[in-house]
Amino acid sequence: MTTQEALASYLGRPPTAEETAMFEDQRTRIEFGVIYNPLWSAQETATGLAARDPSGACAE
Amino acid sequence: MTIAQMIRDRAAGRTSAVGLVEDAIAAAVAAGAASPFSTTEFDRARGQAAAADAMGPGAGPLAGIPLAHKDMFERAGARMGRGAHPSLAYVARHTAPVLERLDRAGAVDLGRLQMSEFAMGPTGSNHHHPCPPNPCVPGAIIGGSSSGSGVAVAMGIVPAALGSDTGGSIRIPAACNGVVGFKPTHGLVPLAHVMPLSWTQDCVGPLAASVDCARRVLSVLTEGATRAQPRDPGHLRIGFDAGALLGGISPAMTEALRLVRHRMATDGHADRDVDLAWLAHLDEPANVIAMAEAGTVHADQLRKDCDLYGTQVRNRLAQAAAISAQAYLRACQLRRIAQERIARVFASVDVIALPMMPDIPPQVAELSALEGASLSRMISAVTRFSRPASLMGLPAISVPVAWSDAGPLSLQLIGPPGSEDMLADLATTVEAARLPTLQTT
Repeated sequence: MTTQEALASYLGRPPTAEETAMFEDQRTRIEFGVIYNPLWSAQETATGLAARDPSGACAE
Repeated sequence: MTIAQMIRDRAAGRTSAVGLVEDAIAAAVAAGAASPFSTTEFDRARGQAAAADAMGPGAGPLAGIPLAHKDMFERAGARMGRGAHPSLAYVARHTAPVLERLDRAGAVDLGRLQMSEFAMGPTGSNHHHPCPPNPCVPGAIIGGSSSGSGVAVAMGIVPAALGSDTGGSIRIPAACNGVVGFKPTHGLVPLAHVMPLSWTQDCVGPLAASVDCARRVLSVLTEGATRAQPRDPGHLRIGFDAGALLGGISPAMTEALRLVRHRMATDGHADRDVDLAWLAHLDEPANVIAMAEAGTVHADQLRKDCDLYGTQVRNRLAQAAAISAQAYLRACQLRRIAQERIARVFASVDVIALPMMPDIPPQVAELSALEGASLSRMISAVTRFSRPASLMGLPAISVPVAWSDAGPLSLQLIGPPGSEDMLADLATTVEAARLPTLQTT
């Protein structure tokens, strides 16, 4: 699904240029703010991300 | 006037609940176009006050005390505006448990206060409704999203008002208007029949004229799980950031922090350096969780009534469409990591002291030209010190600690989950410190 299609489905109409820009800005910020967040340190990753589900329950 | 003063005056026969409510109504009416109310319920409030007088001043911990609340708390039969387009208002069928608790405590409910549209936006501006001026700092933003709550307390109409806090929406308007804001531990105060925004971060709490007023209201909201009366906080270990978190705060805020730290040490607390620079990495996970959950809350309404949303809110909700399930879940995993890290910090200190905002509240004119990504960055700047406690579900209290020559400077005290009493006890001493007026330049 393209950005335009995803936004049109979400908003119920074709997105404006500003809405599209906000969507793209958020997608960029997820990259450096979440996916490559510095808190993903080696030590914490080594404890097992599988055990870190949002509910706090252990998946293993 | 504070809640304690009102209780004393009623007990001494100097006023009545009806008298207190009539004074509050007169102040609200006199405000005219600057009124922070979105909906007034004065006739019902008069009935509550008369009932409180009939029962006497000892009928409840808030007997006869006039309050008003952010326009997102349902009361059966009353209009719910939510800061939204008028055509999206509705009449509530239920009453929020938080209002039922205040009713049982004898409080009088004057009506609903203005707020940011759907509680989205830290500046207090609203696309659909006029924004009251800041009664504390001419020309400055009133802060949001509990904007009317901050203004109503700062104007002296009510001694306290309920707000909600998802990323700073109690603490930021409190700081902008020079009053106290108290965000409790996530889950401590019930959210039923309160407009949702981000259910894993939403909290209900008071904005108030003083720490004492805030804790009296919070104690009612928690049904006594938190103390209404202060105690000596004893000797606490207070953590101050020694890392890079505080980069960019103003000279006045830097000086206020220095003076508070000195005062705390003089009071016998142990001031400790802690590296809190990593809190800066929580901004985007907090935003991703908030926007993904807000996008879910609004999905059906947005698809149906997209153009009834204000431009800024609609643009922010457009962000939610970019957040994949994986991004949301990874942000939730980052929250777990942050909670583990902050637990280690709280093994060495009892309380963390941070600025509430980098400086005095910014001027409306500075922000009115922003849009798009520039607006997102501004929102991040205003909320940079408030979001970590929201993300991690921690209690935090915002207290004005000093006045610069251009506005208030507020400190934020953050503790581990369930530490509301300790925070309020410490905040009472900070509030009483009365630091000297600081220069902004």
